[in-house]
Amino acid sequence: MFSNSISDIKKQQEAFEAFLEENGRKLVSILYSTIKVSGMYDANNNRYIEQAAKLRETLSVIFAQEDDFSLTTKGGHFFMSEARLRTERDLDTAMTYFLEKWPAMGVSGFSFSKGLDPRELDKFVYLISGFEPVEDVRDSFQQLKDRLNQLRIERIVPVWIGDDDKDTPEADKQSTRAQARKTFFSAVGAVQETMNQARSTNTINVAKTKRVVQELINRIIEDEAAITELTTLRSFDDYTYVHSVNVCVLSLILGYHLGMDRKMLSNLGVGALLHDIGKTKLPLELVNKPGMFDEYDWQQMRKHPIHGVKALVKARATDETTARACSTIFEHHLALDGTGYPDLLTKRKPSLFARIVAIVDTYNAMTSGRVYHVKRHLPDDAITSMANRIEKAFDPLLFKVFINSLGIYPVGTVVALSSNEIGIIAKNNPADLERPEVKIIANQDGLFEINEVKVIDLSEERDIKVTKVIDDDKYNIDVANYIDIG
Amino acid sequence: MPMEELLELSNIDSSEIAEPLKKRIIEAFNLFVKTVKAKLVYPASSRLPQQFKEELFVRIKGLCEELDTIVFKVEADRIRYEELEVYRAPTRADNFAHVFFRDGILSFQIKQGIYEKELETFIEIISRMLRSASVDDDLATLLWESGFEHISYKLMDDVFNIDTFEYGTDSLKSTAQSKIDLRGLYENEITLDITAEDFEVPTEEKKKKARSSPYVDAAGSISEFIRKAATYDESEKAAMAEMLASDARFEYKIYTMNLLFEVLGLEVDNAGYHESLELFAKVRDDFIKTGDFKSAVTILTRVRELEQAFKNLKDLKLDKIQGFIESFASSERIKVIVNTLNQLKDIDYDNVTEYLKLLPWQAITPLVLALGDLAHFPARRAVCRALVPLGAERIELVGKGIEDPRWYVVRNIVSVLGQINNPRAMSYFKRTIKHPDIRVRKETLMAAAKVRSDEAFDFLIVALTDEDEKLQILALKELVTNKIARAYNQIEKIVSEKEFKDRSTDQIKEFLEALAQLGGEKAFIVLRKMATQFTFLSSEKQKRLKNYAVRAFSFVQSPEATKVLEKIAKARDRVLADTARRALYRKTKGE
Repeated sequence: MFSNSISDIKKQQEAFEAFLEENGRKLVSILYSTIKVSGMYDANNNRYIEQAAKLRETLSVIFAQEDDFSLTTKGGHFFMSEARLRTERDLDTAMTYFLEKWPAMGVSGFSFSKGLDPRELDKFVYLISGFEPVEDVRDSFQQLKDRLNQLRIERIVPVWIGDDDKDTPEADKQSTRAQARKTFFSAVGAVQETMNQARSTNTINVAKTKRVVQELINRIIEDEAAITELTTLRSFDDYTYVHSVNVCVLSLILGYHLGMDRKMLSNLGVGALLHDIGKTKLPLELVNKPGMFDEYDWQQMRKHPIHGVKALVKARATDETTARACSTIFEHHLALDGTGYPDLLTKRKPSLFARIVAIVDTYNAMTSGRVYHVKRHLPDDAITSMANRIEKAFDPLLFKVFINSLGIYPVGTVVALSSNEIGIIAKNNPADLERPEVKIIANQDGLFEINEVKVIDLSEERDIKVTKVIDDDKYNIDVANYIDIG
Repeated sequence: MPMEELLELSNIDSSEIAEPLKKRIIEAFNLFVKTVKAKLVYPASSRLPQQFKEELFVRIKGLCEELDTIVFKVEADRIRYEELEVYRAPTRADNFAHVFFRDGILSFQIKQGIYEKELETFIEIISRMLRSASVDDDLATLLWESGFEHISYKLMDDVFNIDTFEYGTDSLKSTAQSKIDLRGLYENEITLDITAEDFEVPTEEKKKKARSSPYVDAAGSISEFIRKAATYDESEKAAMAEMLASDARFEYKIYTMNLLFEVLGLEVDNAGYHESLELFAKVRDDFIKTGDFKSAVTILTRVRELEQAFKNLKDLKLDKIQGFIESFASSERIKVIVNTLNQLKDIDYDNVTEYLKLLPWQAITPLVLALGDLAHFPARRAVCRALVPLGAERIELVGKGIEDPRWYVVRNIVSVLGQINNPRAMSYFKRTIKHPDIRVRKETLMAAAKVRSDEAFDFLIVALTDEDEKLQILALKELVTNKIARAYNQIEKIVSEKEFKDRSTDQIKEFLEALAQLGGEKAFIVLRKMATQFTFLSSEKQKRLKNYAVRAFSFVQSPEATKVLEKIAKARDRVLADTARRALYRKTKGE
């Protein structure tokens, strides 16, 4: 769970980027000097020892904040992880050196992991200093990798220079995750901006919302699990925004599994992202009210679908996207038989989009435990509870597609295994919902070494099965800690 | 701006490019711009945009086969292929590159294998963006939705302009995590130490239960449901397909209207009710702005039905709904309609009339004024058709239009008044018959004829002496059609004038035929005199007059007239004899 507000996190992020930039620039300079010194002196020489100590010190400062980071070049720029380093005159020589040397070696840079020992670092410096690239960059890259293996340099990994760094599986996986994360939080930012705009200026920028939704769809098509695991992160202060994005992502996944085409998914996503837009017309004191709602509060809250429709119709041209979003906004609290709210004069079955969002909204609200201050349910409990209400409340077939796409242990769920290990669901297995892929975060002895997480596929490890869903709140497990691992 | 000029704009001159490939690329891009613009300029029925499109496809396909992929880079006011400028905006207003640039498209590329349909959709999307500056959709969104196989684009991330921040998951960490918690977890959830509770049930049983699925406790039906969730049977697959197919039939306009009525039905207070009615107005304007008068008719019809229901129920909201309907008739609303009718092509004018007919009488004055602002004849005709029923009980409002300085507005108003067919309209016709423009006078005559009162026919008789020949003929025709026998004296007076023979052929023909049809026996005498009068060395004009007199005999229904014609048919004058034979034939046929 992340209890900080979005703005606090943004400040933290800015500070963190400043840290990366400052230390990244220092690292570029010192790494260059060290490589140069290594070309003139051997490793026992005081001159080198002095220089290597500076390099280790710089790295230790970075490792104190960041377990893994990368130093790469792209399009003539240097990046420390994802923070771009400004080019300045004092770094010209160093940067020029790497910008020429690394592409010839077939690398855009290197990623560094915590635990790097001085010996490994020295070997790396001398390797780079003396490495002679061959003509074909692929061969160079392979040779470099082989040499790193031979020298047992495990905590410095070369990043392939190829198309968008996607030619190596590791880089590919990292890139997909980074993209998923970027898209997810862009969506949170977009929802926040859209809701604030709707509240203060009565305008709704659907074009931007659509763009975000389309990016989410791209990410789902690319790697469903990478974006699904982000929906398990929970926020209290920014609940509404994160909830909206979660509902959008999970609705899109359901729609994708149902067989919707791009345009349908796009419209579904816009409606899902804006499904609670009507809450912007409610008093903030009500939306943020601590404690239980009384009857009057409920009366007000039940108006949000109508407020949402009004806001959207006013703000946007009458077209299919608007109508579809309106159907989602207006009907997402209607049950399958037309009961629920708004209390329609003539009961009718909700639209397909609204039926999808109703399922996802309920599930996410139950598992987030924030909406209307209801106690949080664990995923299995939520699924069981919702399954009890199918036929009347939810479309049974859509609910089945939802379970099929999400899994009975959704990605990000903390589980206990029959092997006495603790894990987090990494990937759903649609062929056998009982047997997902699990990131092990604690072994049989109860040891938690999150930097060395292994992933096991229960469809292959037939002797092991999930025995229990663990309440991560109860044990203060922060799923966010494990998202980038494995 | 002339059409051809518009199409020629913004093309790069390829004549000075020596390299054949580059020249072809520039020419293809020029054609691309032309094709998009032709789509905007020409009506849907025109063949030209289609020809451009077919030619463009051939060229693009050829280039793609040669180059595999063509990448066009977009800048604020120009488009390049590699370093070659293929487009430069001639003016800030006419900037083809801007449609890509404003939505953050850095480049677009067309790949080998492109289908004609893909290119057509691409052109359609771009022309749609050029047609409307709407911010609801952007180009990138539309391109994405199209899911092109052989057309792709590169988008600038910054266009998001969202207050985006790169969250690392580390920044999401909250409270410090302690191993004590984790150890507690392990011990509570994994290590199955025997506790006091275990004495209540056998430990092995508890262990077994703890090691099975978390769903083990779920009710049988739920457990079954979850167990079966991994697979779909054939009926489920069919149901899923049907779900999507039926959703594809989603009619967004109908849905929107139904939704607004549902929302209106849920309103409990005045403010909410008023707000909901405003939504109707907004949606109605959206329909009208896109030229969809059919949907606007549906909205107004349903609002009218609601009004009737409130009347029947004596509902207190009747005043509100009536006030709302009146607002449909305001000058501002009518201006929206005028703008649409002036700007859009391919309008269904029957729907326009239908919509306008549903408006309340308060729309009469703005509609009369609108007649002067409408650029196209079919639009004015649609308004006139609507004004007939609208103005039937309020012709004084319609009649004000005759004071308009524009002749065509006056003519339209006269036409409407004529169709209203109210004797009170004659007071307006008395003024418009003196209008300096012949077209207004002509319309006045036709309108007056429709009124069919004595006063109206007197009008026609007076018009026989109008200075304009066409008007005289029109009056004659209306008098004959309406069989106004008292017009005979005036006609006889005119044909008996010495100068009558100098009039135009049409006048002579129409006057003599009208004389024959309205005069009966009296006309026979006049015509016989004309037809048989001997003149030495007759002039051509006299011969012509004689000839048309003979011709007019065919309209005189008496045996004597037949005898005269038979006699003339045998005359030496071949021309006259021939006319008499023809007249006899017509007479026989007519009988």
